[in-house]
Amino acid sequence: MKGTPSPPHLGEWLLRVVAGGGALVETIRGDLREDYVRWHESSGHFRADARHLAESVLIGVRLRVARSGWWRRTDRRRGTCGGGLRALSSTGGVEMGRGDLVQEWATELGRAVRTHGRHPGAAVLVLLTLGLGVGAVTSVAAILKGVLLTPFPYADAEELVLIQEERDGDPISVSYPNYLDWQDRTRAVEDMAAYQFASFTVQAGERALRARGYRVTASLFDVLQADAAVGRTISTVEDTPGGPAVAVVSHSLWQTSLGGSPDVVGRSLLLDGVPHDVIGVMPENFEFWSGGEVWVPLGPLVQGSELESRGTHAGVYVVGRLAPGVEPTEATAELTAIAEELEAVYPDANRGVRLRLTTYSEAVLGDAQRYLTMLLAAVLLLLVVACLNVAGVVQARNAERIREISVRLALGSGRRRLVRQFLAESLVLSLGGGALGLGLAWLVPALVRAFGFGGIPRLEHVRVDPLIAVVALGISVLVGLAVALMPAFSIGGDRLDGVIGDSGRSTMGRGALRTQNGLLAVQVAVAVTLTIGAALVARSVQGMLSEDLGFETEGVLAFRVDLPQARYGWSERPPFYDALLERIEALPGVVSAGVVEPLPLSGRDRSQSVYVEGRPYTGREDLEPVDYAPASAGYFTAMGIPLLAGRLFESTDEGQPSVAIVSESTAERFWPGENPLGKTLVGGGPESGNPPLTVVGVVGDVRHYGVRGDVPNQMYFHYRQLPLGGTVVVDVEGVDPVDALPGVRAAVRELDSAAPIYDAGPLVDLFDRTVADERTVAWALGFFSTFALLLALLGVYGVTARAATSRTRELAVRSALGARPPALVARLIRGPMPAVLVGLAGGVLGAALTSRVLESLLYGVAPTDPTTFATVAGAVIAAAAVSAAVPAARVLALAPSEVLREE
Amino acid sequence: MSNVGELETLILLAILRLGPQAYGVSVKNELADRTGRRLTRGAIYTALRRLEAKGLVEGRLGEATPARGGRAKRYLTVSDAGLAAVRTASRDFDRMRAGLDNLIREGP
Repeated sequence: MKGTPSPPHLGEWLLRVVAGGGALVETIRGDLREDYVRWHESSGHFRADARHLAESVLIGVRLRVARSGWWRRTDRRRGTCGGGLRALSSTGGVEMGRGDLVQEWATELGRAVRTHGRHPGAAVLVLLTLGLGVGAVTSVAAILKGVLLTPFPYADAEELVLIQEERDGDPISVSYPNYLDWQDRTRAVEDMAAYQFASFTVQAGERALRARGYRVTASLFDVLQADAAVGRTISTVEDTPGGPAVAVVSHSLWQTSLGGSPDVVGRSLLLDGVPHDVIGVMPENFEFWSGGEVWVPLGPLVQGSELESRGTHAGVYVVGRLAPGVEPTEATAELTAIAEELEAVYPDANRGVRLRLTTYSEAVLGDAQRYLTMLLAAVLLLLVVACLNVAGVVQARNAERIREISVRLALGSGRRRLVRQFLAESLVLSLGGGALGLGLAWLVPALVRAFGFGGIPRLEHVRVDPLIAVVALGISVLVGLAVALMPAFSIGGDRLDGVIGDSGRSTMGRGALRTQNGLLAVQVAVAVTLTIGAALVARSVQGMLSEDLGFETEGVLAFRVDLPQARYGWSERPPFYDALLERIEALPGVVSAGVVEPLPLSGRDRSQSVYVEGRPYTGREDLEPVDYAPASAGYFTAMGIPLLAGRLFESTDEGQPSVAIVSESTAERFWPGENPLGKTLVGGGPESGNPPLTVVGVVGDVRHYGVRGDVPNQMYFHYRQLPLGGTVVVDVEGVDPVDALPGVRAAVRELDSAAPIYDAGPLVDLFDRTVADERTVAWALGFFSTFALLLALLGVYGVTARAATSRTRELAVRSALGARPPALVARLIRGPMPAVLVGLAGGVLGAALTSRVLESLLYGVAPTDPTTFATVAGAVIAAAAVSAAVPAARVLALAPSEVLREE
Repeated sequence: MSNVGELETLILLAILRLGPQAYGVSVKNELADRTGRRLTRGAIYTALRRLEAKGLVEGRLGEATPARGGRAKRYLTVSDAGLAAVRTASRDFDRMRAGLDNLIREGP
């Protein structure tokens, strides 16, 4: 049987939701249903449905509007009888109780929007102020949450620790034999894994690409409690000498270069030209240190390598998982005892070697935690200034409205009603500002991912999620409450009865004036504190950037070429570089080119102990530590490192006794007051059997570790006499170094089409990276403090402007009585100055107390640098005077006679 | 004594015309048929609510039919006050119209 057609549930539901329940609405639904049957017959199913939906919504809205009482006002305007609402709600069976409150608030908020609409300029200013304030706090909160609070993708991550060795307080990498002994002896650390950072040339189809990765022990995945998403991780059998060549790859490498299909497991992958079997793919959310694409077993590489020597600290790092219930301090105590035992057993290799234990999160997050907490504190201060500023504006507005308020109080309007009005007015602004701020914060994840944020890791986790949105909203509501309650309470403080009788001028009560000056002083104080902090860090960055590193960073391109060990033995490398340098030097714009390893600022270093021949020798403690690097003569020219004595390397040195070039300070330390040329050094000590090196030249010192690093002893070998991998540096003139890259690539391809270029970029980028943290903090603090300072100055402006307005009459009288206008202006400018000075004093004190937290970021500037403090203080006073002078000067334009006539 | 607007007067008249068959749908149809005015349902319901609130119209729940999805009709009758209001309105209307027939009469 074909029943009567029934209307869409959606329409019926919408009607009930929009209009609310009740018998009347039920009847209307019935009516609509009746009509629906007719529509269905006449115009078909689709049209009937559409019409039913539309009508339901329209009726719902009409009824809702009627119930909300808007029609009461409409009716009054039409001259018909109002007041039917209550009667209606009883007859119509409509629930009102809860609606009353919502209704009243809706009316109040609507009224607030209209009130603000009458002063759009002030409202927009307040919205922007709060928007930037809330936006800044939300942004930093989002970064902080993403970086610090996103849990690591490991079970019980708080049990993970990084174990390093240290000598004389400096962390060094771990000796592999020591690691094996720790593993045998420790109880506090349940499981340990060793790993080396590595990079590989991955042959993906036709394309060769460079991938970062790790050589790891099989235990790494057990320690992290991480399993492969596809396939499996490295087994202990594979992590032994003679084990098969296998590799685990990251989710992203699998997706982007290996086809992303599960049958990747078992396929062969060329790593540095050697086939490896892919055994597994890690999950997408897996992260370890700064990321990585490839994991290969460490075990097969140990035999016959430097890893077997206990005295060598060959870039091995150790991560461990604490046994359940063991605190890091207990583990440190146990490991220190083990290190002492090992020192007793192996005194030569382990003299002075101690252990350092850091929790994994501390090791990864490092300074990020401190910087972000500091920035959060700064933005919270900024938000305080923004709130005070807004409170000042709102309070001044209310002072102007004091007559209106007094009249309403006198007519019996309740205090509660007034508070509600203020609350609504400020909530409208603060929620608007909050929405604006959230909008700003929304841009942050994309920005930090694109541009980075200092040296801060894990930025890929930064996102604006519901929690962050709730935080922004919560802050906004709190701000709204705070801003509203300040003036709301100060109403009670002022005597209102006198105001009504006044001639209609709006005046500020004494209490309001005091509040206003207090607000101003606090704003100035916070702004000054932030500005001094920003100035200190900015001066440090400037100081670091202008520091002489001993070489040129501008106009130098640096890159590395990967020469696979399989095809380039040590003796094949120098000819390759010779040919490459020759081709590069022939490129247009290239002045000179050279090769070196390691490159300054690259974070890589090589060091050994040398014996300075001619000195007494009793044992290894007589050796001198020295950083060394193989280099070509062109390296010194391209980098602008000055030759101070002797000569650079020459091609005729090849096949001759080994020669060396030392840095200036090294020569002074090794041979004080003597001519270093012709002196000899023995790498590894006299008993090493190494041939002595003859010093042929002295060059300038190089700050290999950046401006903050020490300048160690430095020695250069001829790269033909000690061939190692190399970084090529190219001095370019007239063009951007990056523009030289295509030519360089072509030159490399001509020599070997399968050798990829990597780590390519202007040297100045490396330099910039060494000051990235400081620069980021300087920018962030600079932005926050500029904003805070602007707000404070705006406060000064506002206070003066209001004083000028409310004292127009007094000033006119004074002027008419013969006071000179400049004297009047000076009076006005002096008005806010006590508050500014109190704030300034507070700000200087605040900066003196808090700038210590910046100490680790400062360079060449003391945390209480008097010049910075004085400059900021002077600038603030001057700026405040100007901010006050602008509105004060407007008084001059008024003709006193007109002002008085108006009265 | 309540004053009523034009729409309200028309609705009152429609209810009087329909007698015992007056309810939401029929009132709307009656208005459409006689005057050609296509009023929105929302307008009619709010006007009806207003009239009920003023006591000019009384509602009474009627039978629930399957065609209405089991929902009762709300039959409408004009109260004594409503009748008085219609009377006043039409008297006012007549008085105001008197003597203007020549002016406002449509065509010959």
